Amino acid sequence: MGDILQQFLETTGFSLMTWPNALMIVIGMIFIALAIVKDYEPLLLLPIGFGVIVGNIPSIDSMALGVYDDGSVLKYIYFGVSHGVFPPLIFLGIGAMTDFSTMLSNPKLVLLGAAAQIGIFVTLIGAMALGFDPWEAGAIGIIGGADGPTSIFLSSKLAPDLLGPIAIAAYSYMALVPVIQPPIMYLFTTKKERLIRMEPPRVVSKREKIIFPIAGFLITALIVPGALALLGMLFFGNLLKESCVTERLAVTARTAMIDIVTILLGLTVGASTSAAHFLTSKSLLIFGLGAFSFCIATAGGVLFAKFMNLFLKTKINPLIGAAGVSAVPDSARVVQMVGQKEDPGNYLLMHAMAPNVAGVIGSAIAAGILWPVLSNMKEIAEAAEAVKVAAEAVGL
Amino acid sequence: MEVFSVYLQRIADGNAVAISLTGMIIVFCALLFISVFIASLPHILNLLNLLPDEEAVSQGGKSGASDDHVIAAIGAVLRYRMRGGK
Repeated sequence: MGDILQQFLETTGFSLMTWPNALMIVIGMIFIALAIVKDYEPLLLLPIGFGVIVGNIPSIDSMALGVYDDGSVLKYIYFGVSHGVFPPLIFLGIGAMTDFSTMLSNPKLVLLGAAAQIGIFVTLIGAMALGFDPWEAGAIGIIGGADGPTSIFLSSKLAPDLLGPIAIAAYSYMALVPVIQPPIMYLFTTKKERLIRMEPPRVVSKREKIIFPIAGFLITALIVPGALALLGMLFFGNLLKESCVTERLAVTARTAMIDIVTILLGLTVGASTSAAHFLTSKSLLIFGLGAFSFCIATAGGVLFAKFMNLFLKTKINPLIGAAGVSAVPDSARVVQMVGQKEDPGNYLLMHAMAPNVAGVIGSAIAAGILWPVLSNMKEIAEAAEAVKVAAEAVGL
Repeated sequence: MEVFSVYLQRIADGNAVAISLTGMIIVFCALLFISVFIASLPHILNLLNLLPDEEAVSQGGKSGASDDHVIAAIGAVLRYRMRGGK
């Protein structure tokens, strides 16, 4: 009986616990505290935080428990993350809850959503300079799109080994939008610019709202077929909403379905951050590059808005450029908050929603561009490596 | 200085600048197409005579009022007939 008790005690989490695991559990608790106390993206940070704790409970080697263990329940759920199934489903829900009216009423603001994607491509260069492979650099750069599902989708395709750190970085920075963006917005705008009031948007007809998701999908999918899964679901969800004949489907997509997928995605992404996989120098670099990417994206949107003002008769408030990163609707809310600090009567929220939703489309397009190009490079590099190994094996 | 040249070499080896520039141009083009389409959509609908004609809509709204008038008239006729005993 003593031996059995001894064996049991050796298999408990207490005896197998390591310092890195304990550190990750503390990080998970910080995530949960941020979600509950600070209300930072609680729908994401709470499941991820709990998942981090789940993923760092030490388990016995012979038992399939974690997301990386064949046959474990968590691995089956994690399949939706590792194979890029969950992101398109989340996009379906986002589409079903998005109102493109502000974008349709002021089409020039769409360009701000394109400008903010500069963060992705500048970070790609930076990541390559720091020694990441091109495909890894692409997956890291997409953090600057401030779009968690897109980051997961692209990293599952290009750099599955980095999926955990990239997903955590993307969602962490999305939660920290109210902290990261305002200083950059103040840095690149004058008080006079922040006070600019914008004209109220025109009323958009129902027909325009119904035609847009179909036409928008055709335009983007024909230019960038790689974005088909994400943008197809986004526009399909929006068509469900705007058509007014599939209300039940639209309601399901934007409530029950997106909630279920968010729970499964958040928990398993968190659980994928076991200390052995997560606490590496690469993860630290990814977090650093992610923050850099986010800052560049915000600055890119603001500066492009200022550039547009050089040619526009009716000026736009450059603050709304910051909403070009696609953290919907948080970055639009930040624009509203910063604008109202200068002028409490200035309502920028609805204007900021235009670049915000354009940013969602823009980051998905960027992912659709990087996926085929960089996966092609990856295949060539892997083939070259295989040839090299074979040549060495035969003594050439 | 040597570290800097290593960074530059890695960027050059990975074709990073070309990928980034091309990617950024494609993102801009795709969203520019969408922007142009959105801007021209009301005109296209007008040309196709698909955009809801505000006057027609408002006249459609008045048809309810004219129905009320018809009902009132029928009521008046019925009352007149009942009074007249015919």
